[in-house]
Order: sequence, then C-alpha cells, then structure tokens
Amino acid sequence: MTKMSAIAEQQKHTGRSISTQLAIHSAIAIGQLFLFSLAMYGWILLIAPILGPIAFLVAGFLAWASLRVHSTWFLLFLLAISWCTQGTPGRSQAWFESIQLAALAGCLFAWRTNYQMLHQSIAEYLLSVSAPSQPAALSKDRTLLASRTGNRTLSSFLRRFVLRASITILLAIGLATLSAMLLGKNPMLEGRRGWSRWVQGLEGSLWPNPELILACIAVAIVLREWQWRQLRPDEASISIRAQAVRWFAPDMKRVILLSRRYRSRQAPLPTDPQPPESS
Amino acid sequence: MFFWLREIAGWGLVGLSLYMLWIGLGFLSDLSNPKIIESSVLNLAGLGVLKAGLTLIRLSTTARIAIKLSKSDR
Repeated sequence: MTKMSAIAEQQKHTGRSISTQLAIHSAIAIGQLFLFSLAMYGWILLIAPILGPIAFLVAGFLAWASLRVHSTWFLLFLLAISWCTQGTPGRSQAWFESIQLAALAGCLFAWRTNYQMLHQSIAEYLLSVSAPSQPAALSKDRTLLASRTGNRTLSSFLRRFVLRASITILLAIGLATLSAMLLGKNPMLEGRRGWSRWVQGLEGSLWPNPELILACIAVAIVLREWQWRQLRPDEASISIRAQAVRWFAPDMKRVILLSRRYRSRQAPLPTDPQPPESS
Repeated sequence: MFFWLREIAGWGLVGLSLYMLWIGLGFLSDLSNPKIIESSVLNLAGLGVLKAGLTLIRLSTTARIAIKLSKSDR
C-alpha cells in the first residue's frame, strides 16, 4: 500500500485530514501563545518593575526550555524591547491587573497541557503512515490506534479541550487566590501597587529566595516527567529512535562526508581531451 | 531492573543539581556583595548535571515503556 493510500485510509478513519488536525492544533497553540505573552507582559509589569528585561529573558528561556517553541523567544524579546523603549504604561484598574495575573497561571497551565496534543497527533500520523510497511510488528497497537483516532471527532476533541482548559484555569485562579489569602495581605485586590508594596516588603529586595526558584524548577521537572510517563509503547518507540538519530546525527554526517571524500579520491580523475595532432 | 537503576541514578543527579543550584543562587542572595563568578560556575555546572539527570530519567522511562512493545512482538 502506498503512502497516499495510507493517508486516505487515515482520513477515512478520522473523518478529516491530518492537515486539518494540525491546523486546529496550531491555531490553538498560537492563540495560547498570544494569551501567554499578554499575561506574562502584565505579570512582569506587576511584580518586577526594575528587573523587567532580565525577567523577560529568564521567562523566555524557561518557556523555550519547557515548550520548545522558538517563537516564544521572539515574542518575549519584542515585549522586552517595547518595555525598555516605551517604559511602563499608565496605571490601569486594579481588578484588571489581578485578572491579568490570574490569566498568567491559567494560560501557562493550559498551554502546557494542550501542547502535548500536537505531538500526539504527529505521532499518530507517523504511525498511521508507516503502518502498511511493517506488517505484523505493530498490528495490535495499530488496530487500537485506529479505533482511538476513529472515535476522536472534532466535537469530542473540543469538549475535552474546553473541559481541560476550564479546569486548569480554575485551578490556577484558585491557587493564586489561596496563596494570596494565606499570605494574609491579599495584594490581588490592590493591583499593581499592592504587588509592588508586597514584593518590596520581602527584605527590601525584588530578588526571590533561592528556595522559591528551586521549588518552581522542581515542580516543573515533576510535571514534565509525569507527562513523559503517559507515552504509549508505540510513541515511546518513536521517541527512542528520534533520540538515537539526534545523538548519532553528527557522527553519521561525518562518516558520510569522509566516505564521499574517500570515493572522490579513489575515482579516476577526468582527463582533459587531447588536442588533435597537427600533421 | 536495569531501567529502574538508571531512573534512580537520574533522580539522584536531579537532586544533586538542585542542591548545586541552591548553593549557586545563595551566592547572589546578598545583594550588597553578590558573588557572580562563583554563582555562574556553580549554576552552569548544576544545569549540566540537571540536563544529564533528566536525559537519564527520560530515556529509561521511554525504554521501559517501549520494551513492552518489543515483548509483545515476540
């Protein structure tokens, strides 16, 4: 069975082409990236007015390291430059700033949880395309996979997406409110001025404690590794092969280069055509 | 069993890297006299150890999951 027929079979199973799936996931990813950048912009203005550009770079690196989306860097650089050149904007309403703050955590959670869908759709596409070329090896898994992709319609996908996003955003807002209440000051009700006073009250410094930074890193690691354990065996197999290719690619490139050089040396040199002898 | 040993070693490396980062960030806590060079060395080393530990954990986890597939093929 050719590749085209495999794609056609996959379209028959899913009811829509892989390009539609990828377009949906990409649109969601871009929308979340926009919201995330907006929320990050507000967050930086709220709690780090002095270390804004540095915090942007750190946040950009963390976002890139966790999401592997290079455009995050670009957007955050743009925001940092605009912040440096234009200065902080005028005071806005306190409730709007608080909503912006809560949106940061919500967008971050929603982004991170839903970005996995893009990878999953690509893995399913690779499996479905490579299915006919390996007859018996993965047949059980592929039957399962086909039934799973067949059941995943657009409405069920949207329902799951909205549910997951709502839960994560609610969780994020709840965590932010709870932490603010536990601190006993509730700076969220006072907007940027409240946050500035609260942050500057931390031993007169805007620099967070090392324990706070390490706790954030540890939580990120645990979440990431927990997500990694959700891989299915077929996805894990692809992941291992991709990692091996990534590791050995420089060596393979060098071997190919050396072999080409060796062949070019072994090959007989093209001789110039002899000029006709004059009689 | 071998995968679990690797995973435990990976988590150990992650713990070690967090400890190194904690010491490195501690050098910057005193804002009047920050030790930037010492902090940079320790933080860079800690990030390297963190990357190594995460790779070890990830590969052992992936291999443990993928081996189910090869066992079912047999």
